[in-house]
Amino acid sequence: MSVTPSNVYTMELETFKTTVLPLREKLLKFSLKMTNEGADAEDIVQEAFLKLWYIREKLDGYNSVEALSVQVVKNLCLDRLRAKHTDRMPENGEMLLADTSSPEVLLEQQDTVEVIRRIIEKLPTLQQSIIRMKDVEGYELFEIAEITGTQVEAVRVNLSRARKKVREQFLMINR
Amino acid sequence: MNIDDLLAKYFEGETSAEEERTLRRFFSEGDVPEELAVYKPLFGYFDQERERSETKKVIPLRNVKHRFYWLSAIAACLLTAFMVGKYYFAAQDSYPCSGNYVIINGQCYSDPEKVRSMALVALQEVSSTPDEYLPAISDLSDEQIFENQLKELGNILGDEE
Repeated sequence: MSVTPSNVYTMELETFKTTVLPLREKLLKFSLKMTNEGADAEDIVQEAFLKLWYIREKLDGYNSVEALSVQVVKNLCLDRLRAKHTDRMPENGEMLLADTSSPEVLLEQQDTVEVIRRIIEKLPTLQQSIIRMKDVEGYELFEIAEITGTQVEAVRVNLSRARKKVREQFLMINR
Repeated sequence: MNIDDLLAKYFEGETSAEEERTLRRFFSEGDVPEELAVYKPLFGYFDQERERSETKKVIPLRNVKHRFYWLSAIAACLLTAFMVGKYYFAAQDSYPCSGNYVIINGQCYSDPEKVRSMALVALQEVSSTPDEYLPAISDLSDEQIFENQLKELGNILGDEE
């Protein structure tokens, strides 16, 4: 019997769905308690699942996947709270000015691709992950939905937001 | 579908992998109309990242997956064999006969005649006739008992006189 990569992948997804995804409720509750905000809590849980998905081969090495998941969620919550404290999401291209070589310089150097990279790096991490999975790694929406234990529509909305934000910011700089 | 429509769909997050491939191809090729040129870097970035992740892709990981796959297959077989075996032997142990039956000294009997006779034997062991517990009395009639007792009484009285 031969094992094709997609076979392996389907199996991994099944394993992931039975071992990690059942923790969703618990993680969401935990995240909600820490962030005190429904939308954030949901995003964090999805992000945590994506992070766990990328280390799926190593999950067997942990004593308790549950403890690990809680730790991941906790760290993401703390990141989020910290970011809220010190930062606000800049509405225009100003955020990129702090970088060593400004977008203007990059533009002059025709390095527009680098500008895109910077913009994407500044997206909320969940959106970053989704855009990356879809546009670089070639995942389908439903697969991302399965991994994050959420609806396809929710993923689509997040993806659309991410793509539009990149366009908006790029056009703003590129004006 | 033309590129404008595809782009609109793309920003709604509704494009399929195939349509996105079309978009990337379109923007990577030479003649992109000027009004669409702003999108070139975006798709250019994705192309670049794809190449990067392709070269980074690790083949050895597959071996790990392989092993995991076979391990779970073996585990599943063992588990199945175990369950089947357990059920089979358990059935043999606790339900050796069917229909009406009795178990005597660990043996199963379902023949009514045999059961009846064995039951009689067993009952005999615990039951006993009056002969067994009153052997002395059964030999004598009531009158004899009466006479004997009178005689004894007479003896006692006679002695005192």
